[in-house]
Formats: sequence, C-alpha cells, structure tokens
Amino acid sequence: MIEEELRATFARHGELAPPAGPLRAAIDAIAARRRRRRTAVRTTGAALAVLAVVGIPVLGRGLVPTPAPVEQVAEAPSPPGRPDGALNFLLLGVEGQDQDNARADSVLIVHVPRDRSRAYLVSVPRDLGADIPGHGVRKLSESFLLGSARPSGGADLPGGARLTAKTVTGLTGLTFDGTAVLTFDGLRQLTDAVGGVELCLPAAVQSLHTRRVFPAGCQQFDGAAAIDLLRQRYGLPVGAHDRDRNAQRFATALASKMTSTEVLTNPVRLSKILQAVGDGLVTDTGKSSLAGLLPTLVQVAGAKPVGIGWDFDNAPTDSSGRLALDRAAADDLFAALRGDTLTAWVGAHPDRVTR
Amino acid sequence: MTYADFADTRLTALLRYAVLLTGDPHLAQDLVQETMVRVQLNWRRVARADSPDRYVRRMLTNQYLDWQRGTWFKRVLLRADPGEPVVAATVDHAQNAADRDQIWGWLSRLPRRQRAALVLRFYEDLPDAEIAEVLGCAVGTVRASISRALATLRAELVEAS
Repeated sequence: MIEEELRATFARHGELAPPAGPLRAAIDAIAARRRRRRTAVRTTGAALAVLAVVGIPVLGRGLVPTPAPVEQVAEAPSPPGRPDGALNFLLLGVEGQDQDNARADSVLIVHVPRDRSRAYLVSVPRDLGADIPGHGVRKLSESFLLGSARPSGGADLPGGARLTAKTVTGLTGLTFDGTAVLTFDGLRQLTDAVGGVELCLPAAVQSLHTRRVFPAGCQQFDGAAAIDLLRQRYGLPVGAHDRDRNAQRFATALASKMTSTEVLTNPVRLSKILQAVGDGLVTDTGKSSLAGLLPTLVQVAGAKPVGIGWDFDNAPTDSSGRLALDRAAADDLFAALRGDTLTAWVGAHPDRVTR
Repeated sequence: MTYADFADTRLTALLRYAVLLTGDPHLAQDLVQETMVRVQLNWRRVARADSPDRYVRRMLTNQYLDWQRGTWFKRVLLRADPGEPVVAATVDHAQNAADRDQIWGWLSRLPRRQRAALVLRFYEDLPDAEIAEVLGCAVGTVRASISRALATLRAELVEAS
C-alpha cells in the first residue's frame, strides 16, 4: 500500500512539471552556442598538426621563445647527451588560454624511431575515456583543463600539458621526451609566418562557418584558411576522424614547407617564426637535452611523416559520451610504439595510414 | 528519427521524470536542459542506440546521480543567486512539500539511486531489467535499492502515524 501511495504521489507531482516549450528554445540556443564554440575548439586539430611540425623544431630550440634566441641556437653544436633511442613527443592543440577553454582537443603522439627514418603521427581521440590521475575516469580532453586550472584565472598551460602527458602515459605505457602545446592563435600565426602551406585534399570541403569551398586537389592555405579548413568536421564522411586526418595532412604539409625553405636549419628564420607564434606555443622537454634533439629532428623532418588514425565507425561510447577503444587493437598499436616496431605495424595495417 | 521529432515527443515526459528525480522543478529544468543540449550535439550517436529514449533517460539519470561529483552540479551552484544555495532550497522545498504531502518530503531524504529506482518502478512502470539498464547496475542491486527504499518509507509512515 505504500506502493500505491507512491504511485499516486508520483502521478500528482509529475503533472506539476513545468511546460516544455520555453525549455526547448533554451536548449536549442545553448546547443547552437556550444556548437560554435566546439568547432572553434576543433581548430586545435590544426594546432596539433602544426605542433607536429612546429613543435619539433621548437623542442630543439628550448623553452618558450625568448627575445635572444639566435645565440642560444648557434651555441648549441656540442650538446651533451644526444639521445639515440626512439623518441616520443606529445603535441597538444588547445583552443585558448582562458580557464574555460584550455581543453586539449587534439592529442597527437609524435614517434621518432631509433633509425630516425621518419616521424609517425598517432592521433589519440579527444573523447576517449581515460583514467586521469587524481580525477578518475574522464574524457581525455578534460585532463588538460583539470591540469591547467589555477585559482587566479587564466590557464597554466605547462600544468595542463603535464597532467595530459601523465594520462596518456597511463593509457599507452609510453613516457614522453617532450611536450608542446599550441593554441589556436599560435597555429594561425605560425602558418602565416612560414608563408602559408600547400595542402592536397582528397575531396572538396565546404566551410560551414565562412561558406568557403576548398576544392579537391592541391592548394595554398594561409593561416586563416588553414584554421577554417581544420574547423570542419560536420559534413565530412567520418566527422571528427576525417578532421583528424586533415590535421595530419596539414602537419605533413607544414613540415615539408619548413624543410624546403630551410627554416629548421636557419636559426635566424626559425627564431623569427617562433617569435611570431609567441606565447601561443609552450614546450617542455623534461630531462632531455634540447639542443641535443635538434640535429635529430632536422634529419627526421626531411622525410614525410606517416599519420596513423583509428577505426571508429562502431566504437562504443558510454552514457557520458566517452569513447571506448577496442582494447586489443589499441594495445597492439601501443606495444608497437613502446617496442619501436611501428614500421612493421604500419606494414600490417595499411588501412590505418592517413593519405 | 530526427532530433526535432525526439524533442517533440519526449521532452515533456523527460521533464516529468526529472521533476520526480530531483523533487524540484528548477533543478529538473536544468537537468533536462543540460542533458538535451548534449543529446542535440551528439544526436547521431544517440539515434544509433537501440532505443534513443532509453539511452537519453540513462544519460539524464547518470547526470542526476553524478551531480554532486561532476561539473553539472557546480555549474548550477555557480549560477544560483548568492545567498540562495541550492542545498537550502531543496530543504525548504522538502519542508513545504512535507506539509502537503508527507511521502514527497520523505523521498527527498532517500539516497539518489534509491529514489531513481522508485521513480522508474512506480512512475515509469519499467521492469527490473530495464531499471538496471538505466541505472547501470545489476538487477539484484535494483531490487535491493527498491526494497530498502520502501522499508525506509514504511518506517517513516509508522513513525508519523
């Protein structure tokens, strides 16, 4: 009979629910706003891409660009401890430097094998459910937000990078020789500073934001156009995954531009570009010798990087929108990264390579 | 089904469900709003579910169960007028409601998971297996939650009479 009273109580109070009409309008408005913000954030895919390329020379150069970088680089020819094993870097694309938008929307592992034949770019999906140290299981992208929070406002980018690196280490078992964070603005400035890049698209892309159409085939992108392209996710055949692929293509194109114009080997040009990017780029190479990395990176940047993606068509997600990986397939890739056997892995999984 | 179809047909029912979960029309609106924004942004994923309705109900329930730990609750707190903390509002509401409606007041003191199980059983009339699915727990846990909640309510009833 308590059961019957419960039914009656619920029925009575259910009738008291507020009308749905105004709420419906509020939901639509908030969703539209968040969608705009989210697409802006996606640009960071571009940021990531750029990082892949830019981060590398920067890692060689030192920490955040300072006004007198030229001597610094010039003095570096006989560094101690030039690393000879495989190298792993973590490149993070972040929307901005405010507390509420410092989210790592692009997480890219740059793997340089021991033979230095080329760089591999492995995207880690931002919505992946991951155990964030001290915060439990959340989306991977939140690790940066949590790590960069500071009470005074503004975002602590190095702190965000550290927590994200720890999280990715927990996920993959890889330890990182360096991290780099590139913001949205940094990406645009970087692209413009190198004079734009040439990018080849497999299919035409229309921007939802500027209505601009990027035709299939090869074309020049300046900073604004690059960001516009890398924001596009909706309307592409596989959504976010295609956007990640565009980011990898962009990173490759930028790397090629920087090598062909000898940015990497010309300290004056390099320092000018890094100054243009300013605080939109933050790097940390931990225990490695920065100067010791540079020759290696110059060598690697000469070969076209290989982008590696995921097959997400049927990836399960939980009720909070967190993505779950196919554990066996993921472990296989992570083991190849740890064991420096990625060349063989790519041979066995040609469909996972971004073209 | 499109998002618009879904919202047209399901929004009112979700609001009622949220009112019964939270016991407060304002919190219910916030809960439904936050859930439905996410539903709209991720509609393709939601539409792929066997039953979008159940999927969304589960999202909403999780949001409710998580609200003290997660960001949702924080956002609600931050948005509330200063001097009008949400917790106090809930207590006041329970107090007013208790005058009108004893059981409604007692419900506000139940653990959230137990309350959700009661709503799903006695308002939504779902079988135990579906309740377990919505709550993301075992069927045995559902039965235990319901019987514990009913025992609490019966004890209150005895004490009150």
